[in-house]
Amino acid sequence: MRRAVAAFVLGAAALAAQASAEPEEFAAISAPATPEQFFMSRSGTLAGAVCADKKLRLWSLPDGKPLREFDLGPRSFAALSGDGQWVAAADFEGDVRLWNAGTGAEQMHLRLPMRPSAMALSADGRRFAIAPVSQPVQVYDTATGNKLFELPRVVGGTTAITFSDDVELLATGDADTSVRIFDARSGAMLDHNTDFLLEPFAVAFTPDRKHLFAGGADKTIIQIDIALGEVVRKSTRTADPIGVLDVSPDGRLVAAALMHADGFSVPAPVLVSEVATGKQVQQWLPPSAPIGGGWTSDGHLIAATLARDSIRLWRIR
Amino acid sequence: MDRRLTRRESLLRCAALGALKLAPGIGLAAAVSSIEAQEQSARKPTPPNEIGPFYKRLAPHTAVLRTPGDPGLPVTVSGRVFDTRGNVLEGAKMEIWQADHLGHYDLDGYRYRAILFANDNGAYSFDSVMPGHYPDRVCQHIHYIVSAPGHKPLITQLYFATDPVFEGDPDHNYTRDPLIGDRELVRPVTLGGDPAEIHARVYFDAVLERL
Repeated sequence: MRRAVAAFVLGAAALAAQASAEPEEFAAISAPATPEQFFMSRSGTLAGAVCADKKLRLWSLPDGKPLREFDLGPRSFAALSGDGQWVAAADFEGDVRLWNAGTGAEQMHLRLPMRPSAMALSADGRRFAIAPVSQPVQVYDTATGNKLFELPRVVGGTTAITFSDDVELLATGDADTSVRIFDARSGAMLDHNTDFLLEPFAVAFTPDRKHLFAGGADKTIIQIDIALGEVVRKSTRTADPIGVLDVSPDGRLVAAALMHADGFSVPAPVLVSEVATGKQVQQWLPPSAPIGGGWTSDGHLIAATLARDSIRLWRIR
Repeated sequence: MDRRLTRRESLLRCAALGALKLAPGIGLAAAVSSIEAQEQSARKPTPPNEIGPFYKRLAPHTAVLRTPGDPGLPVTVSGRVFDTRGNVLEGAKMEIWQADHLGHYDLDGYRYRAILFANDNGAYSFDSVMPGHYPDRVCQHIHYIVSAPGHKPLITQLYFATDPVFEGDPDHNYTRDPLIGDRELVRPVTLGGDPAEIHARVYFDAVLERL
C-alpha cells in the first residue's frame, strides 16, 4: 500500500500563490477491477492503473478510453515514464517488466532476488532505476536493457528514487534515514544528507536541479541546495508523514501528499507550497486516499481517488 | 547400493588419503571429535526481514520500553546473539522498535524504541508490551537491527505464535502475512506471572553472518 502512495507522481505547474478554486472532479475512468495504484504521463493524455485482478491497464485521457492491458504478478506496483513511452511493473516475487506503452512490446525483463521497494523511470524514459528490498539500487538503460551501475549498498535498502528532469542526477530516500544524491551517469555519490531521524519516503528535484525536496516519516519537508550540499529550508511539521513530493515544471510550487498515520487507506491532505518561500498556498483533503496522480505539463495538479471500481480524477490546481 | 559416509567417516577417510593432515601432537580421533563439535555448534543465520517504514535513529539506550501503567500485555523478550559458528557476540548492538498495543508507532518521540547491547554471554532482554496490529500490516511484530563488528547487519522482525491472525496454527498460517517469509521468525509465547497480572515471555536468538 505504501508503494501505491509513493507512486503518486506529482508533476509541475506554472501557477504561483494565487488564490485557488476548490478542486473539481473533471473525469472518471471505469475499470473492470478495483484500481490500486494510478499514474499518468506529464502530458496528461495517458493514464494507467494497477488493478486488483493483476492487470495493468492504460487509458487515454480525458476520455477514459481503454488502450492496452498487461498481465501482472502478485502485489505489483508500476511506474510510467514522464513522456509516456515506457511503463514498468514489479511484483512481490521480484519479477520486473518494462514495456513500450505505445506498442505493448516487452523491452526488459528482470528477475530480482527480492521484491522491489522502489523504482523510477526518468522523465525522458531513457533510464530505469529499481531497488530490491535491502539491496543496492540498480540503474538500467531502457533502450538496451543493460545495467549501467549499482549504487552503494545501504543498510535496510531504498524507499524512494527519482531522477532529475535532465537525467543528470539521481536521488534516493533510504531506510537508514538518509537522503543521497548521485551523478546519474556514473553512480558517483555527490551528497549524503542525514537531517532526518526517520525514513524519507519521497524525493523530488526542482526542474533546474538546483534543489532537492525530501520528506517522510519525520513529517517535515527539507529543501537541499545541491551546490551547497546544505538544507536551506525545513518546513513546519505536518500532521502526518509525507508520502509523495513533486515540484511543478516551472519550479515555483511543490506538492506534498501526506500519508495518514492510522493507515494508508485513510484520506490525508495534499499540500501545495511555494518553492521560493515555503509558504503553503493550498491544502486539500480528498474524499478518499489518493491512489495516484500528477502535475500535467500544462500546469494542472491532478489527483486520482477511488470510488468502487472507477477512478475519480480531480484537478487540484 | 552406496551408503553415504558419516561426517566422522568422511574425515577419517580424508586423513587416510592425505586430504586432512594433522600437526604434530594432535591425535586423529581428538581432532575429528573437535571438528564435529564445532560443526554441530554452527547455527543457521536468522532469516532477514525488511526494515519497514518507521525505523528511527538515536533511540535511547534502555531495556525498559514499557512504563508502569502502560496498557497492553506486558512482554519480556530475551535471547542471545551468535555468529554462525555458534560464538556469542558480546557487545552486539540491537536497535529495537515496535508499535504500541493499539498498533501505533511513535513518530514524534521514542516510545517503544530502544538500543541494547548484548552482554558478556551474548544475552539481551527487554521489557515491553505486546505490539498491536499496525494498519496495513497483517501481523504483530517487533523490528530488529542487530550489528556487530565483522558481521553483516541483520535486519529482521519477530512475530508471535499467539497472533490471532494465525488462529493457533502458525505452522500453516504464517503465510497469511506475506512479509513474514520464514516460519522461524514466529516465536512461541509463554504466559506466566500472577493470574491478575499475566506476563508474556518470548525467546528470540539472533544469528549473524560474518562479512
